Parts: sequence; structure tokens; C-alpha cells
Amino acid sequence: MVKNSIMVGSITHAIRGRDILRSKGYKAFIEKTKGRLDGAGCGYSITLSSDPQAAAELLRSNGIKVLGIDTQ
Amino acid sequence: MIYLDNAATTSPKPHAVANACAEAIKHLCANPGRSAHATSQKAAEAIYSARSKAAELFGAESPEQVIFTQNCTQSLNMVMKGLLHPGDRVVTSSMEHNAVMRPLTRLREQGVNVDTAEITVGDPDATVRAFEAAINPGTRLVIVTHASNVCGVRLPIERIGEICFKHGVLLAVDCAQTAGVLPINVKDMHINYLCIAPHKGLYAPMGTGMLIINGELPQTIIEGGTGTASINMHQPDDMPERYESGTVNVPGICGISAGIDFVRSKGINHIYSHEMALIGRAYDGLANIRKVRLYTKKPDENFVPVLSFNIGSVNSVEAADALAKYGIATRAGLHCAPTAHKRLGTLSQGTVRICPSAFTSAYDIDRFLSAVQKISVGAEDIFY
Repeated sequence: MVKNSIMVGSITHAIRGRDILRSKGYKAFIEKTKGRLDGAGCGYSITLSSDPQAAAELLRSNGIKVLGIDTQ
Repeated sequence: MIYLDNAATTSPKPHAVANACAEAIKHLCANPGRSAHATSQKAAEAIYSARSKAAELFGAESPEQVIFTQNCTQSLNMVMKGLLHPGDRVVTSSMEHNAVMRPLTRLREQGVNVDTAEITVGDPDATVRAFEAAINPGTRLVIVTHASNVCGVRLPIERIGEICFKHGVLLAVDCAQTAGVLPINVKDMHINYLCIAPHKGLYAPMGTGMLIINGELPQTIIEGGTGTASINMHQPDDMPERYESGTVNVPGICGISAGIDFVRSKGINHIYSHEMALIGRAYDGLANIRKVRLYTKKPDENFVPVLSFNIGSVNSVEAADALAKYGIATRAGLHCAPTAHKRLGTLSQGTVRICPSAFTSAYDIDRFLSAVQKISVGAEDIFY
């Protein structure tokens, strides 16, 4: 199954972002951001299997800073 | 014991608050927003839930605007010291708590200009005019209590907020005595910084505070680990973590969450009506006891349920000690608000202060009045 990750800065943004996405029908979950830490440092990601670009845009429009998108 | 010291902290706390704190100690002992494991995640969800409830209760646009602090005093310090620089002007009132006055005194020594607007007890129009007159083109911030912790007089924050908005001045409100007792909406009332003591009217545990930021971000006065942007040696800008360095008080915040549920289930208007009826009963009873001195008119809609009195010229601490012997808990002295006592003319004697809570009954007030009556008569030889 495809797993896409939208990186956000904090757990607060991750929970609010997850709730926003779920309210729009996304199956969204939270996990600690994996991979290299010498970029932004620690943070959280919202994972989902569907289109991350549209989801990220939805988050941005709700004032959540998106630090990156990782598509696997 | 009949506890009438609820202006200091409410007691008892609802069972739900105690249970929420205990559950957090049992099941949420992990650092929220730092780790990936399930307990950390559960703790983070609990904190976020509390943030969301607080945002909704006080009209904040998003949960990120809610900052958890150690107490209302810390929240006030964060606002004043984070915003004011030498040369700035700030307006405050003549009845502030030392949580405002002491930081302002230090800031004044550093070159901040402090102007004072006189509160006229029983005349909100005069109070509003005083604020309008005190604001000038150099004013950056108005910081003011929502209600006096000494005599309960309530400031017309809605109108002061309109004045600040009109003049482009930031408004910070100390709602230590009003959160959970009066409806507060930061957007509608043009409040940029709302400083909250959840352990009072929200029935949360002591050692908890909140700050709602609805405007310009103050500079931080504490920096450190936030669990975010760790590679950066500068404090991150993102709310709320910017202002929450270090591990937050998870059990306490869970208590805030349960306290908000309690207040909402009772209804703020219902709590206010209940407590005002009790303070009115106390006022009427005290007014009929010879030698009792009262310092305001009977509390009406321009007050919150906080009342000060004295028994003749008896030192207020002695009077409170005598009440304690009858099992009545009150607070005597200057209540960390000497400017308010100076305004009331009680700086040397202090006052005995009472404040009911949602748990106080008319029977409690009658027992209190009976004790005051006995002290007033029976202790005449000692006191006079």
C-alpha cells in the first residue's frame, strides 16, 4: 500500500491537520518524522495513502505549515 | 470547613478533575510532542483536546493560540516582558494585582512609561473615560484586570477593547477572577492576550495557567526544547510550542480539560447567577451586623462574586483567624493588590475577602454570617 507523508513542525499541527483531513474523508494518521534530522530537526508527519498534494494544500489553507511531502 | 477563599483557588475541585489528574498520572506519563510511542501520543492527544476546549470556550480561532503556563502570573509576565521595550508606553488600572504591578515596576525601571487609568467603582462610564484619556499616541499596550480580586468590581472590558482597537493599541486582560464566571470571547472583545488562572473559576489544579494569544507574538522570555525544529538554535515561531519550552504539566492540563467540561456542564451564566445570589446574601447579612464595614455598594451586574469587609477596626488577619476557628476559610490582608487597597482606603487594615464557588450553598453563607455576628459581639472586649 502506498504511504505518503506530509511533514509538519509539531504535534499540535499534526493532530489538528489529521483532524482536518479526517473531517474531509482522508484516512490520516500521525507518526514521528523519519529520515534525516539535519534538515528541520524533530517533527511529526501525517501519513495517508491518498493524494498528498491535495491534502497538503488543504492543510496550508487551514494555516498549517507544511515542511515537506514524502511519497513512497 | 466552609471554604470561601475561592478567589485564591477553588475548593473543592470536582471529582472529574481529580479523576482526570489521577488518570493522567496513571496512564499518561510520557512527554507529549517528543516521542513516537503510544503513551507519548496519548498524552499529546489529551493536551490537544484541552487546548481545543479552551480555544472554544474563549473564542480563539484555533487551538494553537492556547498556551499552557504555570500560572496566570507567568502568562502576564510573558506578555509584558515580551512586548514592552524602553520608551514604550503602557496603560494599566488603579486596582491591579501585583502580578501586573511588579513586572511593570521592573519595566518602568528599564525605561518603560507606565500610565494609570483610575477605576471608578460603580461608574463604568467614568472608568472607560479614564482609559480613553490615558491612551496616547505612544501607548503600545493596555494591560488590565477584568475584575478586582479585592472588591469584585468588574471592568467594562468590551468597551475598553473597542477603545484599544480604535487606537491600534494592544490589549491584555488578567481574567484570574473571571474565567469560568463571565463569558469571555477574545475576538468579540478585541482582547489580544488573555491571561487565565484555570485553578480558580475553571476548577483545575493549582500550578496551572493559560495564555491565549490573539495578535502580535511577544518575544519569548523562556527558551528551550520544544520537540520541534531541533536543529535550529533559535526559538521556533510556531505556536504554541514557541511558548512552551520544556515538559508541560500533563496531569494539570488534563485537570484543566475536565474543569472546562465541568464549567460548561453547569453553564457559565448559571454559575455567575448562583455565586452572585450568594454574595448578595452575604452582603445583606453583613450590612446588618453592627461594626461590619463594607467598601462597595451591593454587588450587581458590574461586579463578580468577590467581597471585602472588615469588623470594625480589627486587623483583617485577626478577623480571618477568628473566622477560621469557626471553620470558615477566608483570605485576609492585602491580597497581593496594595494599589486596590490604597484605592479603597484599606491599606493599613487590609480586608477579609470572601468568594463563593459553584459548590457553595446558602447554608454556607448563613453559617459564615453567624460566625461574623458572634465574632463581632463576643470578641468586643478583645478587639475594642
